[in-house]
Amino acid sequence: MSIYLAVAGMPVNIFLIIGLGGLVGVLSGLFGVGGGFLLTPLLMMVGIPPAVAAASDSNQIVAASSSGAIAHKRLGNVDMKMGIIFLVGGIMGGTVGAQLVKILRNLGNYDFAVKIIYVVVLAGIGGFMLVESLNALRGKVKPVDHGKPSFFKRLMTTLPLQTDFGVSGIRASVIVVVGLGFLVGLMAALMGVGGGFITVPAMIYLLGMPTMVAIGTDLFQIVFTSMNVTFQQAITNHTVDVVLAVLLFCGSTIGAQIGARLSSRFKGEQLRILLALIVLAVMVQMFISLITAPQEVIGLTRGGGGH
Amino acid sequence: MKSAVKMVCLALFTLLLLMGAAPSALADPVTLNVQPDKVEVGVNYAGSRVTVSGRVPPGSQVLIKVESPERTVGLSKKGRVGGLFYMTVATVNVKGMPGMYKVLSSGKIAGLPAGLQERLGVDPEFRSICSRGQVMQKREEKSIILPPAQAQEYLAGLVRLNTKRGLYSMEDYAVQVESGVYRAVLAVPPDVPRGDSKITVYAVKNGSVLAAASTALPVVNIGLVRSLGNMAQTNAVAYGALCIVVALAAGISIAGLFRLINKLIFKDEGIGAHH
Repeated sequence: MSIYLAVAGMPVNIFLIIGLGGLVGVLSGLFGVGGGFLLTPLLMMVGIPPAVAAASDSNQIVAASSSGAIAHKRLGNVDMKMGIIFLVGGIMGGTVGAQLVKILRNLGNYDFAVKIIYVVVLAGIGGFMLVESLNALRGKVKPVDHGKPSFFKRLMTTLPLQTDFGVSGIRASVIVVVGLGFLVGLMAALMGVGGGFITVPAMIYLLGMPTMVAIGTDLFQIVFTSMNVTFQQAITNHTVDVVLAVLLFCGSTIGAQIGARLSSRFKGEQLRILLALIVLAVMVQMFISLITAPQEVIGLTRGGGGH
Repeated sequence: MKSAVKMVCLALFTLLLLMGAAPSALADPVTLNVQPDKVEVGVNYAGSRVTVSGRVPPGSQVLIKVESPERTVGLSKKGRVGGLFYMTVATVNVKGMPGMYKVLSSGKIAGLPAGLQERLGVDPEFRSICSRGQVMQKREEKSIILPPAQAQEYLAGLVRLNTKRGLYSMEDYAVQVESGVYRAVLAVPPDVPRGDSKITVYAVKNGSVLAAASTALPVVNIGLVRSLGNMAQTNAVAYGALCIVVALAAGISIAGLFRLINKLIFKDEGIGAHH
């Protein structure tokens, strides 16, 4: 059964799209991260023009993150104060990042830089999580709780504007939270991703938030960032396909429920090992695609397809 | 008197003209029927088939050419960077090439004289179409047109891309001709360009065109495809707002629904951790 997508300008198989959404939903339900950076490449693989895939994915994330954030709010997993302050930094970082992208594009070789950053960041996060969770599983001390106070921890507790984050159970400087939000927003804009897979580890390992609160708070702030991205894409590139987004959401919401139920059967460390392996696999796949000769030298650009 | 003479002269002249033109006027003209006579792209559209038929002078080879309006396409070129990595090294816009270009023939297209192939734009390598394409590259805020030697690579790449997507084709023996009646089925690909495509039929004999006929094949969006597609292009702010409202409504209602399901079936709160 197929449906013709008005904005993508092509027919798609309904079940294939719902299935893709479901697959990514299971992973997100399991780990609490991983929507954007997996779904967009998958959509491109089934022939959706890259620009439409990325823009519609962010529209889908509006739906998925809002339903997820509501569920987490009910369980007391959303630190609104943290989310809003983080968001302030994120928006500033995103704005600076967008300008930076313009400058870098004019310098040329922008795509090259982005891909290299992407691979390095993925390798760093994946590698760190893998080592950390393997250690935790072996019963070694958690560096977050007992290690000697890191440079970042000292910054967090000594900079001015100290405030309590009740839900997270931590005390930190507003400057640090805004700064972290800024960095994540900057990276997200540079790499063209939502940033969830950077935010959650940053909240857990740098700010010391409990895993579930980090996930809930991340979802809360992603509702707003993805709304902003969707709107910008709609008015500048005309590439948001709302029908595609709804189809994806149908799949991802069911998948997420399944994933969430599966996740209660695993230990937190086991989940983090799995997530680390997936992040590393994406990194390796990207790296391989960077060093293998393409079959077709000429391809459609992000503006291609559609009308 | 003078005017009467003039009238007679004019009448005689007209008669002479008509007689002179008679042989070709009396020969079998080409007729052209297209069924259905337009392509409607709705929610259920997944490509379609259009039957092209009519009469041609007996014994002639039939060529059907289908050409859509021009469509500007953005292309990127991948190349080696730093001796190890492959990535986009250039992006261009190609103008002047039709979005769809299909030629169906009753015989071998390659068997036609080169001059005729070029004149009708039916050479198997799409060279005549490529000669119309302009490859624009942006350099320091200015668009320049690449010289043919550099443009060729992009044009050839675009032809390959379009051929793969069913937008370009040169099909031998795709038209059936029997005692002056021809018939062909044209496969219209899913991402056919909107607007009026032009269908032209040529009857070719002994290396020259005996007669030709052409008609327009309108390709239009209908229903939801039309309303959403139009809105996304012409009313982007409202469309963007609509996308957000739809997504939020879906997210909020699903959260409520699953809360209910979790309560009734699993007797717990579930964990809605996803994004």
